[in-house]
Amino acid sequence: MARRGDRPLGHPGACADVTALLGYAVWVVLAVAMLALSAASQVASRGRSVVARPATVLARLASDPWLRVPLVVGWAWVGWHLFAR
Amino acid sequence: MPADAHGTRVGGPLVVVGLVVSAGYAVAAAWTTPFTWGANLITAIPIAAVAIGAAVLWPARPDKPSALVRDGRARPRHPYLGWVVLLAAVVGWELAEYLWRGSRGAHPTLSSMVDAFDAHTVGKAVAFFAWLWLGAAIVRSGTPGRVRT
Repeated sequence: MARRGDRPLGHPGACADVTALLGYAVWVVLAVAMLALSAASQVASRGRSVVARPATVLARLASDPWLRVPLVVGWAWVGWHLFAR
Repeated sequence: MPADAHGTRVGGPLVVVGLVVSAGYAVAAAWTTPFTWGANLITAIPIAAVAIGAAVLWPARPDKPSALVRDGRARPRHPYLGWVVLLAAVVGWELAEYLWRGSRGAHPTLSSMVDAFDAHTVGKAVAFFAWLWLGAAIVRSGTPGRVRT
């Protein structure tokens, strides 16, 4: 089954360009936020990071009897979606 | 190989072998074409490996890793809040862009951006290697005794 991402591109006009620019801008902001969180997780306050480190978040998810299932399923789905389908 | 929750790295030749094998596997995967048996098989093998690794190595009733156990020191009240909010924002924007009427070019999703990256063999090899690395990190994170303080 084809992905929605395989929809044919339209005829990009000025409006589409602005819309795309907005879309990419939001993705950039989210990427910067992720980098900022990663950086903040390295900064310790009174011996403890205010923000959990990415590896700690992963350990928390993988050690939870319920959350570890969607963690593995989500990882598998991403790989299947991106590389097989 | 991935670091554990405290940044401790697993050393030794096993890591080097794992890196080389993973890199070679990712390069092989980069030459496959989606919607073919080759792509299905080369993607399914790591999925099966992680599923088996998790089933074998992870305890049925996991304890909290030592990194997550309270030790009497003051802890931040919501150390995961920022990540939860970020995940919600990413999922929300992905859904908004996915469901918006119009061309994918005007409404880029994570998939469409990764597809553009994957269009080149090198990019696909890098993305596949990162995916393999994340799978190994997930299995290690849930394995008792792997998270050291």
